[in-house]
Amino acid sequence: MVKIIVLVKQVLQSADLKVDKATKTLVTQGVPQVISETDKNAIEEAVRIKEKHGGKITAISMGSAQAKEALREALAMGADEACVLTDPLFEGSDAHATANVLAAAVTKVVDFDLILCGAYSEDLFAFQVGPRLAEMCNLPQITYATRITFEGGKVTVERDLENERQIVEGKLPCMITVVREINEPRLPTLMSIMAASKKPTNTWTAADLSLSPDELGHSGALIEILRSSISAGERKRVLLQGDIKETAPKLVKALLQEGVLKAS
Amino acid sequence: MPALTALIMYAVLSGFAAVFLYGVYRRVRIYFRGSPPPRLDHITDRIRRSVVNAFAQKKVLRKRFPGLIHLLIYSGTIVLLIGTTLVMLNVDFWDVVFRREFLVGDFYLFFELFLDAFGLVAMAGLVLAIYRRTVSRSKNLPTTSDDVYILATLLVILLTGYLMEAIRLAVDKPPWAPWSFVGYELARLLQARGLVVQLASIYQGLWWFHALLAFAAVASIPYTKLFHVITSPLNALFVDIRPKGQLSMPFDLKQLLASGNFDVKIGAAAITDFSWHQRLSFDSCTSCGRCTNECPATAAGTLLSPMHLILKLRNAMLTRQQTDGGSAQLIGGVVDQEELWACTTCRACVNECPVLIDHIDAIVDMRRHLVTEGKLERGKRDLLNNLNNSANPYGLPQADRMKWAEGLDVKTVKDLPDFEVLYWVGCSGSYDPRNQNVSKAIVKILKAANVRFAILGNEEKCNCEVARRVGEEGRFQQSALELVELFKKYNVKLILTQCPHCFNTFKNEYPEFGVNLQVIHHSQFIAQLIESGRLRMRKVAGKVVTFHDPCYLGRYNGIYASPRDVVKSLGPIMLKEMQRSKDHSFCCGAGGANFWYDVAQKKKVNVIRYEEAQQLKVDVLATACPFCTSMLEDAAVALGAEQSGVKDIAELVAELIESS
Repeated sequence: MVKIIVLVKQVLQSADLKVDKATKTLVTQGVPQVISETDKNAIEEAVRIKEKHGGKITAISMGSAQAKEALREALAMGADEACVLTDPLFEGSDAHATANVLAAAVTKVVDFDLILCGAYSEDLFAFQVGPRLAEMCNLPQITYATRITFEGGKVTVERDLENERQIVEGKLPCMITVVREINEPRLPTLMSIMAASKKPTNTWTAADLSLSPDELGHSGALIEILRSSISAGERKRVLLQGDIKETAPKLVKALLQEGVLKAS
Repeated sequence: MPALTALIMYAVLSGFAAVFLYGVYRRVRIYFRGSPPPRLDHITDRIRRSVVNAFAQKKVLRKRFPGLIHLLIYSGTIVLLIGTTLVMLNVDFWDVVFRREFLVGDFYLFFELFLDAFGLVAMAGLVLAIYRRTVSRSKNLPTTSDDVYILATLLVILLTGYLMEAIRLAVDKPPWAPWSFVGYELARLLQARGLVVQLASIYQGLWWFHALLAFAAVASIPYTKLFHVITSPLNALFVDIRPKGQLSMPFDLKQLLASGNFDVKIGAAAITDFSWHQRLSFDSCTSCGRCTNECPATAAGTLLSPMHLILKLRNAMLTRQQTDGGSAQLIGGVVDQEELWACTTCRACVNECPVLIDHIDAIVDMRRHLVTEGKLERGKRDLLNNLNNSANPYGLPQADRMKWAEGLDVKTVKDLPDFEVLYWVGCSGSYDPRNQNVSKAIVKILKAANVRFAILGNEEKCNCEVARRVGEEGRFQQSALELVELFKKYNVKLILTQCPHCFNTFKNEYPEFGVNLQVIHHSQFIAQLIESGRLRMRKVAGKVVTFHDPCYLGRYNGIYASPRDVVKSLGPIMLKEMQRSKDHSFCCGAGGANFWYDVAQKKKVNVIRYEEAQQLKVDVLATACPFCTSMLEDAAVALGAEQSGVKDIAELVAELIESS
């Protein structure tokens, strides 16, 4: 029996994001909201652990009322219950303020062995919330997991650190962040998402979590966003045509000029 | 025949009858396990199907030589069975009860002539069947012990029948003997050889041998392949009556939404999850191999062979059913997932099957189970994710749906509320660069013919036909419920599609969702515009064109003439037909969602088809489906063709319209 909390974030579908050419701002209206991919991996991993060892999965998401939809998908994938953390006071939270709210929710759940979440969210790619939450809850943490196994109350995790692969062992309870390589998330059918609305879903506000307004949203944030701008790199659109014997040296020369290749 | 012999014979016959009935009971019991009762709505239509297909052999005769063999054996055996039964009734019943016979006079003479002739008919069929199974070994025609047993038994029954007739005629010498012309000739032969006395002495033994073998043959029906004589007419009688292009509906989302209860079993994981009629249909398979011979997935060397799939399901039904109640998982054990995903739903198998088995229904049912399990590999998952999140299979932004029409001055339903025709562009026509060209061609045609049309613009969303065929029924139905509301909102009456898949779904599947729209495919619409003189075109000369029939236009909806009419109207060109055309058309490989994921193939379906067109040495390979266009273009690239020659018929027409 492993009791797991999975943290789920709803993000804007990046493929649909567009920049308003006049105002140079992101157009978010009408862009569908989806579960951040690595969080889907976290849900999938939780479900696989539950399928193997038995247990219970609680999915938690902080966001607007729409976050309920994301949670419904998590429930359809196999979570047992869900908590949506929503309050106007949460708006403008940075990673620190978000971790703070999530930590309060995790503390309220009390009984858990493992917290799973994606290593990063697909909108801001800050890689912050999981580790901060672990610190706030005073939990050991293992990040960038590509494989998780349980044995005798211990957890063994493979971590992918780009240049090296680490295998670490930890005690429960702990917090683990996962990367996309860990699994292929299952796809819930529409029917299972509909059926999942019968599973218990709690809604908690700042008051339910006994949080004071000065630690929430903009007031609770450590980071202030001064300005955001769109980096619009123009493509050069160079097309080398002709016989490969002629074009290949040209390509190499061009890449050298651009500094992509270095002459040795 | 002495009374005692008759008594013994009928006692033996009852024994065989009991064996027969027990066999039938055993099989039928399996069908009905855990399933709703038979349907008998549309009873006249059902009887018609049964008569046309089982008794009149309509589909058996689609293949000439095997069809002829079957017809000879079938008609010969039936006539002899009825004839022999009449003799038994005449002698052992009419004569005993009414003290007179009904097989008398001139009628009897014709009766004898008729029976002797049909004996020869059956014999010819048997000889040809043996030839087909030995000398000209047909592709994908397995010869099992059943086939050897059936052919041998029927042959021996026939030969002993003639022999006994000859002995009777030779001994009794009745004046009407020549009417039994086969027996008569044989009798003369026996007399010439002086064999009559010798044979007459074993007549009694021969008679018992013949009778017992005939009884055994009948009793063996439910234990052998012969069972199809019972299952196939029944299968035709209980078949699902719905349009060809309409998949079965495992639940009604609208009702479920109203009730709030979504706990329904979807798809087939075990043999008992199929309907009783499906199980009856599996049991009707005669392993004739016709489905597999037509199957593009088989031709491409995938794991799928529709005949073997059905045989495996039947085998699971007849063996596992006994041991574990039929609840064992089919997929992974009996059936490989890859077989199911290799199906392009092209309907060639269903179209060929002489006993009306619906392979596609069974495949989609098992796919539904796999989708419910949620463990799909990447391609299928991406497809469904894209449909969920972006309302198109490409995962491209909904906001870009109308980009193809930039600068074309195409009106949306909002700009032109009193439009006559809703032009449904479809996802491929909207997003795929190759097929955007077809959309532009259609716009050019519609404008040239002054058609008052509009598009839904960014309100158009995928109708999720592809989700339904992958097995994600809920997504399809949700999309249908939304689109039906959209069509009502804009008062849509006539939809023009360029995609045969969209066409089929709106035409055949949407009536189930409460709309009966007039749906027209661009091949039909353009043909009508040309015929009514609304399109003025230049003519082109000297080109050689072939037309590839898209499955969902042709086999599913019977539209063969319109696209050909359009091609012929281009000018004095030569329209060549590929060997496999019209209802024998060979799929491009895209259907049944195969466009969206990879299937391991030895030789790709689209390449096989493109090569078939290349053999005709045509200038243009015309088609009328965005997915066929894409697949055939891909094949041309794979084969290194300098110019693909692939054109949608709309493009061919648009090229000949003078821009005003």
